[in-house]
Amino acid sequence: MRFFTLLKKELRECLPWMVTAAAILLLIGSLRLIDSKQRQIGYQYRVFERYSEVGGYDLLTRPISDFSVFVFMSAVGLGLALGVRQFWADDFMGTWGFIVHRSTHRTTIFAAKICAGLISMIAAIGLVWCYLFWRANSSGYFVFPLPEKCFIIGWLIGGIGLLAYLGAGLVGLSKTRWYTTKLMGLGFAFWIFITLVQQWTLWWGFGTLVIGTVVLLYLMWETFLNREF
Amino acid sequence: MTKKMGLEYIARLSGAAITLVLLMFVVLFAQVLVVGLAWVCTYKKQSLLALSESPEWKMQKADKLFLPDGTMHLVNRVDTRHNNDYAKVEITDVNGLVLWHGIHKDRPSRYLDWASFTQNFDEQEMLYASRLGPGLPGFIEVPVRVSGEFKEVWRYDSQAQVFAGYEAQGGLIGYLGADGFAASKAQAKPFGKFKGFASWTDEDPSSAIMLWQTKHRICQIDFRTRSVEKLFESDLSDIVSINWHNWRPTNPKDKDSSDIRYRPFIDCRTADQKHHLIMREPNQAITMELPEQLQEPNQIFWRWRYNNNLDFTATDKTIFVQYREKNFNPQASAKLLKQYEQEYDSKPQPQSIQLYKVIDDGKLMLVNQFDWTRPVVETSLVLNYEAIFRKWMTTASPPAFDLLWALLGDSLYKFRNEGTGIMQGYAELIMEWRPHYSFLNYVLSVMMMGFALWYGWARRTSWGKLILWLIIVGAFNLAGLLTYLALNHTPVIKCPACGKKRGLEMDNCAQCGSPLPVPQRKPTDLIMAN
Repeated sequence: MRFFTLLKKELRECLPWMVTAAAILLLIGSLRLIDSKQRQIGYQYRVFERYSEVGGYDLLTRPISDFSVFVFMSAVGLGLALGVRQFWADDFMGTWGFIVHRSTHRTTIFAAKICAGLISMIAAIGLVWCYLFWRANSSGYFVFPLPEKCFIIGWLIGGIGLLAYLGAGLVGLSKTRWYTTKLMGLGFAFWIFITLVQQWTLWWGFGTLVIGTVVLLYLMWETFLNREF
Repeated sequence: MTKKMGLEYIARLSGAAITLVLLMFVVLFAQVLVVGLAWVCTYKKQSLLALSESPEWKMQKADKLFLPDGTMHLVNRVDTRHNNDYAKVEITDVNGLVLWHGIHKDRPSRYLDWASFTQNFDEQEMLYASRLGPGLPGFIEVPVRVSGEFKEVWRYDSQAQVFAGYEAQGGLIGYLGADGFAASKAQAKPFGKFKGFASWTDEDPSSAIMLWQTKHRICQIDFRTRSVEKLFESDLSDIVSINWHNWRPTNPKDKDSSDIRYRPFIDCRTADQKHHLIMREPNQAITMELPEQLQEPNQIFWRWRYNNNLDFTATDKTIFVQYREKNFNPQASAKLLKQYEQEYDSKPQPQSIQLYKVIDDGKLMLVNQFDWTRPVVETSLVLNYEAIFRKWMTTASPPAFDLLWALLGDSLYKFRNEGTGIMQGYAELIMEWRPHYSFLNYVLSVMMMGFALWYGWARRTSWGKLILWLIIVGAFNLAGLLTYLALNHTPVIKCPACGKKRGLEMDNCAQCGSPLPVPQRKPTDLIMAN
């Protein structure tokens, strides 16, 4: 019961950020779809000239490029905002004492915060991405159906927001000085992000994301359990 | 060990590893920045002294070109201001007698042209385009237009290794595989593991024509007619490289006015050291097994200087092979390459260029040969500030990079030159910024260890931990020291018992073992009164 009470409280605090991120992603994505529909089909392909060499990059198209950039920016923005709101803002507002001195274990409080963050990210980014992908795959937007891989990559890119969330959360929880190891959480999240975007197979991509998430989550948990509030 | 202690140990270990990695990047960034800034500041002072214009060097630098009758001429560029066609050149015979001088494009003789590398999109680029980052992945898609109107598009499916075609208004057309068009994916034969492609248009620009190379096949795909022509197939041996000459049709207006009539052909080299010539006008295929001394090694670390040592061309009368012998034979290890290169450059080296004709049964007949000696390369003539700064900056690099190079040098070299993505980047960083067993690097590392020992002496909590940190500082140099300082800073006080400095991390003084003093109880201290 205590867990759900805490979860509700955390969700209530995350709600404005979640709604803002979802609205921005939905708006920009929908505008992009409308723009795409207004253009002539096949506009993205190069018109060839006679007796010319056709470079490999002239034939390379990126059907979800805009959408994945929108998803990426919204996810990272939301992740940072939630990380700061859930794990840093209580420092500024002096409310940590009220939270950690409830009659429950710190792990329960930590789990409620993380669950609320995850639910917010999935609702704001994941569900909107599902909608945008479904709309884009409807007739009239692309010549051919987008491969399932593109859909999964959208989720993977949304997962980068999770790294940003945990990184920002770790920075918020850390009591070290900013010029020593305080920014380590975000630095590590950035390193994992760089490693992830260099992968080309989904397995390696998700593997990298999972490793980064587990390490950050573990460090956060340990910091949360041992920190003096 | 309790569960909580285990949790703490793991968290500390992962925290330390992350901090070390991130600080290594910070140090590396600083190194790159300093070298870059130093290079910018000294840019105007860079003095690239011209190599000696001795007759030997002139001979070495001259282009050695063959006429179709086998005669060789030496072409020397007199000025370096213009590009190839507009440069002033001097043409001499092999005895140094000047035959002609003037602008290169106006030269009176037309020399043999050789086949060159075909791919404009290779396996690495395909993997690079398939990455998972924002804005990606990319797909190879070939549009087809009829009378300028977009009609259909063919997308490469890298999993099924076939092209899938779609109508502009939606709806599947079918698939293109190694055996041509198929109505379903199951019927389409996969092309095989992608290696590279080149594409072009001819007089009909409605779509691109592709030369598609896989591990075992070369196919030509025409999307306008939905047809696939299998040009070469080798099930037993992998294709190592393909070069082509005159294969892509050129605009009749741009045709060379020379009287040499070249045949379109592709030279395909397989891992079993055979060259397969696929020729047109008329269609012909020749497989050649070259003598051992003419064979090129497959190892990547030999390829850089061996590149294009063997060239092919085919005219309407003859097939020619040109072979350049540089006597550059390093041992089969990338780790020894640099040392071998230095030894090679420090001595005069015999060089040779040979022209062969291919006779009907694929055998070679020597037409002409020219030998000369390359003089010693005087590298000291080139004052390279960037290299000097880099050498100084790498003294702060981790000696562990040298250890990695010693243990995994060949793998790192392979990753850097053949790999893609993050591993290529890491291999490059390690190879470019390793300290190269520099004495100064060892001295600096020992100094860092000394500083860490001085700093940690009073703050130590256990000998094992201090020694482990000293090893880390020694192995990672500046990054190691910064990590140590970031994670082990504690305030020190003067021990009331022995008067020496002591950290506050441990209850007992590291010097004398005395516990921290307990504040004296006061009568009103209700909490501690018991």
